[in-house]
Amino acid sequence: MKKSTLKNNIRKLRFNSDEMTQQELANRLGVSRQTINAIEAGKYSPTLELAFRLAEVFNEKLEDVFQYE
Amino acid sequence: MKLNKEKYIKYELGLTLLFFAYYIFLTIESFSSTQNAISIYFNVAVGYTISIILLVLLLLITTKTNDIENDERDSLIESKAYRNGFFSIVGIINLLIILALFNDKFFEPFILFNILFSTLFVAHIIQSITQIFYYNKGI
Repeated sequence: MKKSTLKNNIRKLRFNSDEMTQQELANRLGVSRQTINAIEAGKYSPTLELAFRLAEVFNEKLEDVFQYE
Repeated sequence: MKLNKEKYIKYELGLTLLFFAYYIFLTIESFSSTQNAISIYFNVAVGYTISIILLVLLLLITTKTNDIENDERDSLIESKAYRNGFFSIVGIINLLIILALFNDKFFEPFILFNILFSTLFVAHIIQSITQIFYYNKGI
């Protein structure tokens, strides 16, 4: 499988948001905890809509959450 | 109550393999008539359906999950799994058409019936394996 080139700062952003758990983040976004885990581990690239909603949860710009390398 | 999808797929694959093996065993045991094939078909199909219903109920009762039923990643994995299942059915049917051109034996209802019934099992197994693969390796 081609290695993902989409990096993210979700772990760091969760830590900065009072140690938000994956489950809490998943509940806020309406996805499963496994999906958050997969995104964080770089095993799944979310849809554009979910990526924007993720950035919105952390009050960050999309490019501060995801970086294409 | 919500179903843990990954867990369900693994158990479902186990059940499918078990019933496929049972079906092959019964078919080999009574490899003779179309009448036997129909009774085997009903035994396996009804048994499999009841087992799947029981599995879903059991998992709903025993699994505690706060996850949502189906999100975008689940849908994507599911669509890839359905695609692979569909391709396997198309592949086997194409193979069957080619073989039927060269061998009259494939036109016999008993043989054709068993091959088509097995095709459904194989497609379902490929579908489940695809899902397990993508859940583990990522998509």
